[in-house]
Amino acid sequence: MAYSFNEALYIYPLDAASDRAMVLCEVPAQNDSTIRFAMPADLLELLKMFDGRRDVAEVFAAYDKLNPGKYSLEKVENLIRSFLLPKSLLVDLNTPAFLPEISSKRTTYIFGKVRLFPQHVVYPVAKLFGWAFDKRVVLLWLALFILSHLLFYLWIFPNHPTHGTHFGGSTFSAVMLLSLLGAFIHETGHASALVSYGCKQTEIGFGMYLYYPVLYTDVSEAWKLSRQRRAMIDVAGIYFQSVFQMLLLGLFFINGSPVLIYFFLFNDLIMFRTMNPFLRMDGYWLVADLFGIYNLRQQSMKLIKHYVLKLFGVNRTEHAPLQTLKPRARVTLAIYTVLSTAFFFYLCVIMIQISILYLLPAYPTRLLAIWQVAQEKPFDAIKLFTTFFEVLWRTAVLVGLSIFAYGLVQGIWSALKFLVQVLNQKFRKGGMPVKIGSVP
Amino acid sequence: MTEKELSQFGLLEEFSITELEQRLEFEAWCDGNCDCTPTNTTCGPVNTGCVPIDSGCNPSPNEPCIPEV
Repeated sequence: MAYSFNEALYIYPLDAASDRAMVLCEVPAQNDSTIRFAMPADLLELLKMFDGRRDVAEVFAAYDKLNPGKYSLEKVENLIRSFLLPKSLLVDLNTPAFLPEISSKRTTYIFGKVRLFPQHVVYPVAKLFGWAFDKRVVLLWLALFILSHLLFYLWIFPNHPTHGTHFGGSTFSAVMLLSLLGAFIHETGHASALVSYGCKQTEIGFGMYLYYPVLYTDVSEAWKLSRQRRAMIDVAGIYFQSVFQMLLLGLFFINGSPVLIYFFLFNDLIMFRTMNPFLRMDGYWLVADLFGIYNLRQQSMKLIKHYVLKLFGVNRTEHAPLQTLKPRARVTLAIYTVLSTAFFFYLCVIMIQISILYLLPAYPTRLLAIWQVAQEKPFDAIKLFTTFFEVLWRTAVLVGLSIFAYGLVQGIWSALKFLVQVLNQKFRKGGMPVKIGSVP
Repeated sequence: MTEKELSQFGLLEEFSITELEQRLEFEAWCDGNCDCTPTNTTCGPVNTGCVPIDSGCNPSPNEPCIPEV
């Protein structure tokens, strides 16, 4: 059987801290989506040798002559049959062309995704801010960011008689609305950076991540950019958001509204949290891009799995993830794995506390409160809005926590099943170490 | 053979092929602070360590409160 390399693929060098040159392979998929694979550049050489005339054995023989013993024919045939053809990296010219499906295995860390602004809306808006990524403008922002924060925390905040006295329902609502606007500006920042580097595919939407309602920007096309540019896209959200924050601080000098003081504080809190590298927020992508570790979470999980299996005396044919990385990235991945594991347990405790001790017991009362506020005379629209918003948030959080708990139980169950399976095989072989790759 | 099985048998890993994760950059604009809406449903005794918040409670509520600086 003769196959051909799919000419519809887009290939770019992948800027990563791997121990060999990697390429990014973009495969057009169903529903106008794209599947992106990272693979070694030398494997791409093999794929490009499929010209539709020679059969697999002939191509393999030609490749093996150039790279003796690199791969085995049996494994290449297996890879073609079970991966390269279904994913359309190679095509059979005798069968109709098709677009591959998005794998059901693809991790979706945001659930309940709703697209708010499609590409044709986001792109022209984002294009307007290309100038903001000029090095001089970025440096100016950095200086203003530091100055405004020094000014706020050393002079404005200590000398302003807020002390919570103005923090009523309407102040809270105003701060929340400004924060929502700030969140949209944040997402525009990510999209603008992406577009300024020549990418086109993006969208802004809403969804739930763990128990957080989030606004997201799809910047998947950034994989084809250099690490430095990807890192700029990662911080562009905070960049734009802090410009908005500084403008509102300027407004404070005109009207003196305490709302703007609270907003400055609240906005700083949000920006600080978004740099958490253990959740998949901006901080996660920043660490991954600065150190060149793609699929950071996945590689971290693989590392844990590798050492857990090793602990049980089970050999693996695959290399430990650390062995495929450059030294600096290896250290980063090891530290990240330890810290993120600790953070995961901390998060579980927090989530149990939030749901069992706080959210669930108060939920019926808060639900009833909407009805009570709606019946109040005189009618208070702001109060109704804040109460309704609060219940909506609690509902979303409870749904998020339930899904997280379900995923956690499922993950633990799969891990236990896997461990039992490999230990069972190990004992069947009379206590001899088992290679997972050679399971019969 | 499914992708999961492939992965399990280490074929993709052996060839160092990885599907890159979708880059959805986001911000949790509304996190734990979202439920700090002043409420008058749980008017408890006034916490003297905090400044009472004007949320319509009678007597003054003690939640949510901001510690006096």
